[in-house]
Amino acid sequence: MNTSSPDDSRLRGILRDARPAPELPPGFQNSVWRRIEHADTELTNTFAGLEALVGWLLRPRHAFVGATALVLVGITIGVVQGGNLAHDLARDRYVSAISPLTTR
Amino acid sequence: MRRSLLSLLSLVILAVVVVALTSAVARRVCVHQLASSDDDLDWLRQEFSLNQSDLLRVRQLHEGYLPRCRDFCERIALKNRELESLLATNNTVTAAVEQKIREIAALRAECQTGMLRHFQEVSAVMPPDQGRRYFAEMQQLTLGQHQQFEHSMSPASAAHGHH
Repeated sequence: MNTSSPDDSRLRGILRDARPAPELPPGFQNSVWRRIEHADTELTNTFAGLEALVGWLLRPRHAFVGATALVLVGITIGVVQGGNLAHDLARDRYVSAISPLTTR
Repeated sequence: MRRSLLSLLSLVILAVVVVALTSAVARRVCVHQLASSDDDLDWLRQEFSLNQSDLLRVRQLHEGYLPRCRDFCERIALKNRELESLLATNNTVTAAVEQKIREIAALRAECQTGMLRHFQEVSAVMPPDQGRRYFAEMQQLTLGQHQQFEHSMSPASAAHGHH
C-alpha cells in the first residue's frame, strides 16, 4: 500500500539536495579493507607473542628458575615482615613489663 | 588465542600464590625464631646496640624496678576494682566515687613519676645518644599514649565529637 504523496517525494528531493554527500576519495574502499586486515594481523601477532611467552616460561629450565626466583622473593618478603613484627613484639613486651599504665 | 591468555593468567595466579605462601611461612618462622626469647630486655639490646656491660647495668636497674612496677600494677588494679564495685552498687557519682577517682589519679601520677625516674636511670647508663633516644621513645610509648588521648579530648581537636 503506497501512501506517499507527490509532496513527500518532492520534500525528500529538497532534503537530499540540501545535504550533498561528499565524494569519497579514490581508493577509499581498498584503504578501509587494508586497515581491517592490518588490525587482524596486529591481534594475531599479539596472541602469537603471548603464546611464545607462555611456551618459553613453561620450558623446564625456565620454569625451574622462575619458581626458584618466586620462592626467594617470597622468603625475602616474609623475613623482612617477620623481622619487623618480631621487633614490634619485643618492644611491646618490654613496654608492658615496665609500664603498669600500658593497656597493650 | 584464548588458550594462551588463560595459560598466562594461570601462571600469574600461580606466581602470586607461591609468593604469598612462601612469605607467610617465612614470616611465621621468622617471628617464632626472633620473638621466642623470654628476655624482656632483648628489644633494648637490639634497638639501642647495648654491649654486655651496658646490658648488665640496665638489667640490674630493670630488676630493681620490677617489684615497684608490680606494686603499682596491683595498687592501680585494686583501686580500679573498688571504683567498679562502687559504680556497680550505685549508678550516681557519689562523694566516695569522686574520692576513689582522685586516689586512682594520684596513684597514676606516682606511677608516672616512678617510670620517668626509671627511664632516666636507664638512659644514664647507656651511651649518651642512645640514652637520649631511649628516654624520648619511652616517654612517647608510655606517657605519650595518655597525652594523645587527652589531646583528642581537647576542644581544639578536630577529632573531638562535641560541637
